[in-house]
Amino acid sequence: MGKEIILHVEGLRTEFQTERGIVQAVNNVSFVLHRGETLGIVGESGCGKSVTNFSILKLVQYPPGRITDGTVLYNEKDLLQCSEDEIRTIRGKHIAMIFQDPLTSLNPVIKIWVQIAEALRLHQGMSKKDAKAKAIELLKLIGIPDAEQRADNYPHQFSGGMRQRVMIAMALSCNPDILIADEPTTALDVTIQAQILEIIKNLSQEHKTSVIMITHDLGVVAEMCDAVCVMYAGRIVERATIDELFYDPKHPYTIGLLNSIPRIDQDSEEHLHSILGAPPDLIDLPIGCPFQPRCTHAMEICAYKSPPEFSMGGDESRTVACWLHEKEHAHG
Amino acid sequence: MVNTDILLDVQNLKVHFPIEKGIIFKRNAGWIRAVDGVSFSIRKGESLGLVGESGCGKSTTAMTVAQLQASTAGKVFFEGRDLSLITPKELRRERMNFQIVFQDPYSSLNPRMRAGDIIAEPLRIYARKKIISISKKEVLEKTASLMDRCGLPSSSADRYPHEFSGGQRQRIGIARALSLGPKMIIADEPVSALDVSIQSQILNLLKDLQQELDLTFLFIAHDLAVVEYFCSRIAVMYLGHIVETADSKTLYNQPIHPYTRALFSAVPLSDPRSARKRKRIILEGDVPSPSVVRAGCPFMDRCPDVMERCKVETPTLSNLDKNHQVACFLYDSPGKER
Ligand SMILES: Nc1ncnc2c1ncn2[C@@H]1O[C@H](COP(=O)(O)OP(=O)(O)O)[C@@H](O)[C@H]1O
Ligand SMILES: Nc1ncnc2c1ncn2[C@@H]1O[C@H](COP(=O)(O)OP(=O)(O)O)[C@@H](O)[C@H]1O
Ligand SMILES: [Mg+2]
Ligand SMILES: [Mg+2]
Repeated sequence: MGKEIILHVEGLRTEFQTERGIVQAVNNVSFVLHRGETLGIVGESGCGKSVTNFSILKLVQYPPGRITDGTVLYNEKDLLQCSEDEIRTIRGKHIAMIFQDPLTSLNPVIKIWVQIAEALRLHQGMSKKDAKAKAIELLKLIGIPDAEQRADNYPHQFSGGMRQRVMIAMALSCNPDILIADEPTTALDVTIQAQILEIIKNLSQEHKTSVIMITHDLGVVAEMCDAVCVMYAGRIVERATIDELFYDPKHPYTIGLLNSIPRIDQDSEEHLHSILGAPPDLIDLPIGCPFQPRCTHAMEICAYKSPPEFSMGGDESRTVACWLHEKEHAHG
Repeated sequence: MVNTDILLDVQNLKVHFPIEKGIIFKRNAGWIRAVDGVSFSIRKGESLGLVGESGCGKSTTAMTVAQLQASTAGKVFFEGRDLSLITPKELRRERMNFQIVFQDPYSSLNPRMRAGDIIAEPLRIYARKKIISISKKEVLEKTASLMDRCGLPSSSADRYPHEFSGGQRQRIGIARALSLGPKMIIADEPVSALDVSIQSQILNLLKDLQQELDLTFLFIAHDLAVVEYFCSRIAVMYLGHIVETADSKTLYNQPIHPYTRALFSAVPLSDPRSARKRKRIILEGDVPSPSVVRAGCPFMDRCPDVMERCKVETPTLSNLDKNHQVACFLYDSPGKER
């Protein structure tokens, strides 16, 4: 099966001007998203996941933020060069987004169905009556009980899980090509998280929607994703298919992260592996590899030269940014 | 009389918060039954995990056990003493034995105090109240050794909380909780706000301290993998009730209560192969409000196996065997197998 590339991010850099100096939030990030694929972007808080996602849709506020370099190709068009009008049509209609906290993206004084219907009318030009019917149908689809009655509720009358389901309904109402989900279940309890992940999974399969799943939770990645990029200090340090990442991780950070998670079936007598120290300040990044100060395998070169992304055996979709893996990199 | 092995014994604990309506003349418009008849005990050196989804009453249970929240009914015995019957002065002394560590290392530390003073504060207060006798010099020595033991560089004693990372702030909270030499630590989501690489550092620290100091833990978390790892026994809460309790291995291998089973099956597995193979139980709907008084099992409206009886009677915890209790009518008659 030839995999069609739907989004191609290349050399993305985003920085923030702060009192203390320039924060290099996204530092030369590149990845491709294929049609129908769910791609995970995983990393600990502050590593640049959300800023990457905001940059793709030109949602970085200036000042203090600025996209300083890179291209984001969608349908052969560079989104970063699009006019504000063009990008607005793309947002919502072609590339939809859901966030961790749905309350901030729902209007508290507008009824739930009206908010869903507005999205439908804006992008699909439906009549008010049709849009209401479709909104209720969507509410049923995402498992809101008594959808006809609940459609008249306001956001605060919905629980966190229900609000997130509404966001998904709105995001998917226009059959977007791409859904970007930024920590969509982080604020939710596990049984509700399971509901939400199931909905995203089913809907994306039915509509062949590509999904970028941003999360700090490797469990969510394992459950949802086909491929994954691991981010650290604004960079992608490893990219792999889901099985490669979990069963043959290469980057010392990825390995450390995987070993740090208590496994539900792990013997409690064992010590957990942990990574020493904490992630670096994105203002005073070390000159070499950003992980070097915490890395137990650090070599001399790591301290002064930042490793490029080595592709393993020439496979562009399997890369590791670590000097330890320079040799596995196929030359030519 | 009492089993001397038991450090903490909680019997039929209830905590109901009034819902007040009206601005000037407050009238009671009902009750939030945050904790509604919870019983458990913890043996010396054991760590009991309390799990359940947000709002099920874990923190309220913790605060009430720590005597920081009044109970509506029920008893808390510490080393066989009924804490509701002792004088405030005795309680102050007793408090040295159980200390609490909170989830949020950002809000639980006084931002205007230096780390060293935060850790030393309980010692100083108890010395001032003449409950313990300790010299100024000894306080400093003790603080330095606590900091060292909890992995805080001694040079950081003069720094303020905002100058520390989340993990380090949690270390300050732990060092402070240890200052009075407690027998039991009540840890309310101590690692929930931390990233995994930091979370494992703190879990390892707590585990080492437990062994070294022979500590007993009441450990609260919503992350089942964390609790499963840290605790020897687990109690599962739902809507103010304990629905199942067993040793960690048993609970993981043979969860019995329909809620426990759904909860475990909902945990994302960091293992794609098992994740693909597994059959998940997806619960419908949300947890109901704890303010609605109703008959029946607290889990009845989401339970895939609900029966007529569950809607009228409330099941109580009964023994499956000596280490495994469940509150569910499916397992009511002894010898019944699933
Ligand atoms: N508006 C802003 N001003 C200054 N720094 C910011 C701003 N937004 C994000 N950052 C910084 O950019 C980095 C990446 O943030 P983010 O992408 O939100 O991380 P995460 O991976 O947790 O989503 C962080 O160090 C953060 O402090
Ligand atoms: N001080 C309080 N006043 C009123 N209601 C409270 C108070 N503290 C907790 N509650 C309510 O009691 C229930 C249990 O809360 P809590 O013990 O914090 O749950 P958990 O820690 O399991 O998330 C919730 O419905 C919560 O809103
Ligand atoms: Mg984020
Ligand atoms: Mg709590």
